[in-house]
Amino acid sequence: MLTLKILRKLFRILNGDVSPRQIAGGFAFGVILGLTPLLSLHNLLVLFLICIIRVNVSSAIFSMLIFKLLAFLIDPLSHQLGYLLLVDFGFLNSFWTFLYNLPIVPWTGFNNTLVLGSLVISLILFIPNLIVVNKGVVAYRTSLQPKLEKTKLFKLIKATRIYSWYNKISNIVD
Amino acid sequence: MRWKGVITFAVILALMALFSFFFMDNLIKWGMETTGTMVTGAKTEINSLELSFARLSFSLNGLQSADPDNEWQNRLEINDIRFKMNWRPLLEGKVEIEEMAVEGIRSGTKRTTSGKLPPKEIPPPDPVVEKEKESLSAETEDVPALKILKGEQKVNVDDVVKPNELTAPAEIQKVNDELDKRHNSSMDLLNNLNLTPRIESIKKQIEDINIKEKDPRKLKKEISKAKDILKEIDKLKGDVKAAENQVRSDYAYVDTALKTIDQLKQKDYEAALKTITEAKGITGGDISRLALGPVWLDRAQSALKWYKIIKNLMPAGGPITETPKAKAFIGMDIAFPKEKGYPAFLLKKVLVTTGDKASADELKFSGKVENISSDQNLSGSPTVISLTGTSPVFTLDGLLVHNATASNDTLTLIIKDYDLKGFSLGNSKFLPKTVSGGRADIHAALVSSGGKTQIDITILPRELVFTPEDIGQSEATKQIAGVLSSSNDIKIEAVVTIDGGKFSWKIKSNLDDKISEAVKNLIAARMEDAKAEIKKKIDASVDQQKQELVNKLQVNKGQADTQLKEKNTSLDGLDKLFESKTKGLVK
Repeated sequence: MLTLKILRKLFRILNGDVSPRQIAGGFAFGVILGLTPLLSLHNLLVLFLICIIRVNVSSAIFSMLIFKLLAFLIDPLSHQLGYLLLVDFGFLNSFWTFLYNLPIVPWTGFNNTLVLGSLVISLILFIPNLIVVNKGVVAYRTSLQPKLEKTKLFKLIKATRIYSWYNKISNIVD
Repeated sequence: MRWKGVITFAVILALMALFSFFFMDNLIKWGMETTGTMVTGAKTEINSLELSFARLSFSLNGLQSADPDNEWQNRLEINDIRFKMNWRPLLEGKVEIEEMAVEGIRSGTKRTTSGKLPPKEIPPPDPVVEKEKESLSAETEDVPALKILKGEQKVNVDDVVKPNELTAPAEIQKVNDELDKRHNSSMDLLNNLNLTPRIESIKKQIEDINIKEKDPRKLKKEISKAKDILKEIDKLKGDVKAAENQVRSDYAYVDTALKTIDQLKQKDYEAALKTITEAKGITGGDISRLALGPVWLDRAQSALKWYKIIKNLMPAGGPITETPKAKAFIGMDIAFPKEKGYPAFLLKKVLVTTGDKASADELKFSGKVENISSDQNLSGSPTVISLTGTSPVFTLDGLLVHNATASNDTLTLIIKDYDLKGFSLGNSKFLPKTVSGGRADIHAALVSSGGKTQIDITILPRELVFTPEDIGQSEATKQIAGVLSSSNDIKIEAVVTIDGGKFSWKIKSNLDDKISEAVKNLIAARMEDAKAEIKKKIDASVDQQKQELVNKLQVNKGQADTQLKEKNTSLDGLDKLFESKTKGLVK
């Protein structure tokens, strides 16, 4: 039911009048929330940015959920990257030591291999996410959406009583 | 910037702050109660808890931890725990407490609510110790002396005394056969003397002597004949005497054999007793180990459990031999040099003050624990424990070193004149359930270095008292309780060693000898009845046969005596006839 609801929301966002940039911005921030441990201090900043910048919150939640699941696969890689940066790259040592000696900063848990590694991965992915999702939404709306609506399967699904009944209930709940 | 979003974020922050303000105390309280219950294995409750972010202070009131063995009693109750955190380390996510005050510690107080835990929350016992106890129990079942003590082993006289294996009846049979043989031989000897014809022949010769002969030449001849007859009579007498000596000798052999039979009967009796008193050979060490083992293992298990909890809370210590592995989905914290390094947790001093103003049942002791730290390399000092009590009189000293070079723990507990009233002796098959009265001096030492941990405990109990209810009906328990009560110089030394996961233990005590002696006495008393039965059965097997042999001997001897008497009478008659015929002239 939840999966169906998320997919319906996704389709509603994609088919609605929300700008592709807002969708892409929300998605990119959601990736940070999804890949890094949720209860980290930096995520409070991400949450603050999602609230004050005009990005789509639903796409942020959607990408967070998707990447939270993917994080289980990526965590070993995140740990290795974090270890590389914190331990193996000796030239960064003075920088980490500086941060380590600042007040409050240690609360972010940056010296944890998993936190740092996943944060770096999500930050690296931030700009590509913005570009790819933005272009993807534009492409979907211009070429794929009209074709999809004309397919027999789509029409068949829309014509079923279950869909209309579910749609009605969902609208009431929303 | 969208203001709607700013307001949403502000609302989220406000909700978080409100949650912390209203629910953080309860959350920590719940966390502490849950952890306490898990660690102690008994219900742990806190009356109230207050955490102030503004003052960085913590205050806990009314901590009580139930006794796992008595749901309506507390094992530990603390009135107040208070401390303040330093703000500077807190900015770095580290907790540093300058001084913690712990006041009003009590034990054994009554509970108003049940402290029973649901079955699933009771932690399982240590499998290694349980295996050891099971093996001890199995060993106990096989010890004959303990079976006798428990009254399970009865002496079956029929198994002990088997008539066909006795030596005395066999000897009787042998002597009986020999008696027959010798009697026949004696009879043959007497009969073969051929005495009657020989006497008749001599009598005839005597009758022919004419001692009244006038002719000197003929008289001389007659006298010569009489002398020859006399020689023949003497030879006859000699033959009878020799036969008599032989017969007497044969029957004397049987008299000696009867004495041998008595000796063999005594040997049979002693051999039978030996088989039933072999259990006396059991060493006292076994009994002491089997009796005190389960109690000692329970106490050791409890001590090790608490030490394990303390050790788990302490930093690992010792040189790092391998790179630590990251835990799945948690990562690894990398430490960097700091100008002023704080360990993640540092409690500089815990001051325990109790027993001076609170209730009468409060434990009377005071002291301090210094430098409880998550990283002794950063805090720079080992953990030092120093507690002194007046009721009971005790000292507890500890030094826990867990730094980069070593991981050594030493804990020493000395208790003087400890009141043993109500002290549980566990579920040992041979000990009373609890001690009703008595005192003890206890010296306990725990030394742990690397992977090796050793606990040494020396207990000197005295003036022990047990009620009949605690002793129960078991004869073994009665005996052991008797030994414990009557001795004031008992010394029990116990050692548990865990080396690289290998568990070993031993108990040494002079109680071994005392219990052993009591067991021997009990077995000896139990054996008296059995001894009487054995004697009866051996007597029945031997005495009748022996009496038959004696009767037979007397009959045979009687026959021989009669014959000898007849023969001697005949010889006497011959003598008289010779005297009357020769008128004493020939002799």
